[in-house]
Amino acid sequence: MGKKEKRKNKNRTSHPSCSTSTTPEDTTNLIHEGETPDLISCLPDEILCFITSLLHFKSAVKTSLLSSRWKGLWKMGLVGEGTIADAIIAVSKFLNDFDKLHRKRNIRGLQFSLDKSNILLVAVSPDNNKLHLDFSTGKQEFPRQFGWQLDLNGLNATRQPSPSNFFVKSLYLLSVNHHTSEAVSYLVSDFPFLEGLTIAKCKGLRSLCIDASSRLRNLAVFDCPQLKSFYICEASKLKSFRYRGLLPWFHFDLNLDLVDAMLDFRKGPGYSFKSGFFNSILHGIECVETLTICRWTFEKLIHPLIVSTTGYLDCYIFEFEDLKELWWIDYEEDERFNSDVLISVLKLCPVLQTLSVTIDSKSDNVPSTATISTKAIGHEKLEHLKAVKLEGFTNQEHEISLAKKLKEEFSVEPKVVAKSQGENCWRRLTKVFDLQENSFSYEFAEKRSHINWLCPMHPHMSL
Amino acid sequence: MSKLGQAKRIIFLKTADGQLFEVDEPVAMEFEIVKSFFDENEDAADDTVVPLPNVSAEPLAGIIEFCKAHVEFRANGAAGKDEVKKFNAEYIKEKSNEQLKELILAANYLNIKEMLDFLTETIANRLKNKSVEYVRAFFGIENDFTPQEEEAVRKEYEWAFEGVDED
Repeated sequence: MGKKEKRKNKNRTSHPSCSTSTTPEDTTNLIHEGETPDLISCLPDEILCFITSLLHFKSAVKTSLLSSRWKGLWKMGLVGEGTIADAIIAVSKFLNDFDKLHRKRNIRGLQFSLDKSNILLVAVSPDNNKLHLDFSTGKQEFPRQFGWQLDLNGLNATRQPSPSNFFVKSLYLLSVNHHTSEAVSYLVSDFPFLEGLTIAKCKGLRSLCIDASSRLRNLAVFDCPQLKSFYICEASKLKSFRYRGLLPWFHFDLNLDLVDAMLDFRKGPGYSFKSGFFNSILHGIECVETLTICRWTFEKLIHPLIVSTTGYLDCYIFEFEDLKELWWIDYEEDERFNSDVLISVLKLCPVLQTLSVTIDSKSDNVPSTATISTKAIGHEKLEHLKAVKLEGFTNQEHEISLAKKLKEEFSVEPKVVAKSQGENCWRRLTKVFDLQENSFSYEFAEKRSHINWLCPMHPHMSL
Repeated sequence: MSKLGQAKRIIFLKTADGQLFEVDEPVAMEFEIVKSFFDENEDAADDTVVPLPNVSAEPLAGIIEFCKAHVEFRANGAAGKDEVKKFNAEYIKEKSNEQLKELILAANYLNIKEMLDFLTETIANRLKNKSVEYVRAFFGIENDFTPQEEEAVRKEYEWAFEGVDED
């Protein structure tokens, strides 16, 4: 059967992209040559999507890093079109059918075209029950300001999710605006198992009120430039609170007991504040193990509270009693670094293990007025401090003098690695014996490009 | 309409580079595009030449080889057996990435589901558990990201990896 197939003409013309075709033996050498034409990126979207859908989740996501052609292909599973209300229905349906239909076929995303040429990109990470809603693709109109109330208590969840459904534990909301916020609120009220919520890049968001459920453990708000007021109720189980942006007016109706706090207000305050309002946050971060804080926040908001507290109660000394990892965001004035504030903070951190210092030249818009003495009350020892990572200093002298100061004040000599502005490599500080001076001095040696060399990166630095 | 059971019919296919292929009807009917051509033109003459303007001779020859073998497997009741897997493995072993790509494009155009599934799975296997750098080099994918862009993409998808165990 079928013996008659044959090519009539053996001298075929080759396809243009066949000109550098390779034999199977060559393929192992491709890695070294690096000159092969791109062989698969020109396949149509549908085929590449199909290929990524055959991969495990992590491999599929990683294909986004190959090139811009591949970026985001892994989540272009289904497509839809309609109003924002249709989109919410589609997302609900997608989540409900996820285990039944999509997990088997490895469809992890949904692309929904909204009116005004905006696109909602929906992606799920099935291994850890995360849902990602991204409204940032498409035309960005001038953002109208809006207030947003998010109720996480699952009041609308009349139906009990069956065990086979994909239930959302972590939710990422990107670029929600006045037009989409209400629909997102409606969707979110259907997630009774939500433990983590991240809200980022919501332009026009002016006030945010989160009615948290007792399940919420992680809350993060990043880069919402107009956010002026932020109210959180009933967040009794909140363990991690991460914020990056202008300092808004905060209110927590319960006492927080955080393990992880990121207070990256390096851009300054978003309104004229009184330090008293920071009290609830200060008590909330007293027992953190991981903390990010800026110099001005300590000087203007925390230090006055500590001083007044110790003034009233002499026996009570505020300290970060469990703090192990600190990321300190500081600035230089006229290319000079004043380490006094940092030293006085370190005196409040008896069990600190790693210190990361970032000099951000843009973070000096709240000039220092208070003078904080390094003679402040506190611990004289930092015996657990093992590693110090310095980034963004303009001068190696400042890095070395900080290391010396640590030795003077706390008698510690942790590993110090540093990278100045514009440098690509990390340098390690080493101690050398100077024969002429008959004493030790410091110098930098051993360059490495790997960031985690010697000192693990502070968890907040990669956010 | 195909006339199965009668005298063996030959289908003529003409590729983009002008070559004429003579293919047994059951094999040609694996190609959805050919099948629907004859479904729509029931009275087509036996010597009708089906033009395939998007396929050149080399991948078509490879596709015919694959489909012929699979038609025979089905006829012998061997579908899904080790014999098939062995054939598939041998078949793909000899193919370069370039040939694989041409086969996928052709199989996609001709709409041969079984073969397309097999080929895309082969690509997926070549991507699986490989580093980004390895995959780029292996398939000749040019990294057109600046380091900053690449870092941004990495950050963009960080959420997907949080809390997922390392391999």
